[in-house]
Amino acid sequence: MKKTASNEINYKDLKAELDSILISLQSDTIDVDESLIRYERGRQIINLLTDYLKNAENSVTKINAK
Amino acid sequence: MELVELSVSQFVDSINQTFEFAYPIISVVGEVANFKISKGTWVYFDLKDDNSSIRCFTSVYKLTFPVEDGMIIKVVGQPKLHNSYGFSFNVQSIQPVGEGTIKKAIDLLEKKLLAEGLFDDKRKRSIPYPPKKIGLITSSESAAYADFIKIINSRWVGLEIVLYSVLVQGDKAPGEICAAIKYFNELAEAPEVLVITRGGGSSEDLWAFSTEEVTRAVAASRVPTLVAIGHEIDLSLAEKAADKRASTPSNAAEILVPDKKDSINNLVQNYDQIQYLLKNIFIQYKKEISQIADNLEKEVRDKIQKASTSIAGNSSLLEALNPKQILKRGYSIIKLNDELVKKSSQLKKGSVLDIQFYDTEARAIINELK
Repeated sequence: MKKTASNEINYKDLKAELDSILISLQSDTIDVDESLIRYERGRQIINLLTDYLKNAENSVTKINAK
Repeated sequence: MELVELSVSQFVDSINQTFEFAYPIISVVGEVANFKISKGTWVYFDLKDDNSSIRCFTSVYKLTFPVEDGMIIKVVGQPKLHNSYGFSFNVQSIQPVGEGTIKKAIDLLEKKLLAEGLFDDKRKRSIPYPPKKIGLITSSESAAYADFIKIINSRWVGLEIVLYSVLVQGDKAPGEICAAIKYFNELAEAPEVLVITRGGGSSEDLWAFSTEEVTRAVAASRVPTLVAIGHEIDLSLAEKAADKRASTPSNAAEILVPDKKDSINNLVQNYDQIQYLLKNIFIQYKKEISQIADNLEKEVRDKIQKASTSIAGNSSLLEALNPKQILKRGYSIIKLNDELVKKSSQLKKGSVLDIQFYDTEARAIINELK
């Protein structure tokens, strides 16, 4: 079984950060330098999440009723 | 053969030993009659069929649903001969039997729990979407478990699923399900959701999920609950008490997590979107810079134009003041020895004068002064 990536990636947090980057890039007030920084971070998150969704697996542990 | 002679107590003990040997535990099915609760604690009723009737005894704590005369029930317990009150069946657990009785039992229990507010919508909590850790309560041998795991594995990743395997039908099922709910609720790192599930079945198979103890345990769970019982007709009480319900184990998996294929497609769209947004920002800034350049050029052009106009004005003035322009009007410049002749006292008879006209020059001699 492949290593579970659940401890390495917090999907919800990264997705929320990506959504916030997309919103900020639509703002009229963002400057060029900041937009470049956010663009790079957005691309990085997209790559991380895509890789996570393609490669991570679930873990199942079993407890029996006593 | 010698006849055995016993005291009454010895006889009672002997009968009870025989019962214990023959029926250490047994279940009996019959119709309830003469049901009554004494002092709020002790429960007495008769269990009968067409030909026979037995006296049953238990406590209110063993009642998992409201019992009424006429119900068909299955009791599990031991037969006893009491030293004063005679024969009775000591009941350890009770289950309704047959669709009619089960429906009646569920209706009565539902009315009671509804009045307590166990099914109120305002009690429902949201379930994290998608959760990271799931407490799964079902039988590890069941198709429900296989279906849930298959669907959830096909849809999402990175989940930590803890399965607490329980019986999902029969006398022991309610106790095991409640123990599992308690186990997850007491964990230091509790799951974000409890999924309690099983496949479809008869009313009796599904009874555990409408017992008072399971319904109360679901309602009281600190961890949000999703109950999925695979059946089509009436909902179990546990489903009504849960924060969320699903129609089948597979449906529970679908409700809990998104489909990763959709999420990957969304990320691809996000990639296009982020490129587009950055491009737009640059186009916007390019436009602004181009506008600034245009303004600058216009300003310089205006200044040059203004300067040109001013120079042209000066040139006209200069031209107007040019002495040659005056000569055009018929005047002449007269010089004597390269000096302008401004008055007659500069002249004498014989003076040689240089005369400058508009278009030519001439030399003249003074013949006479007047």
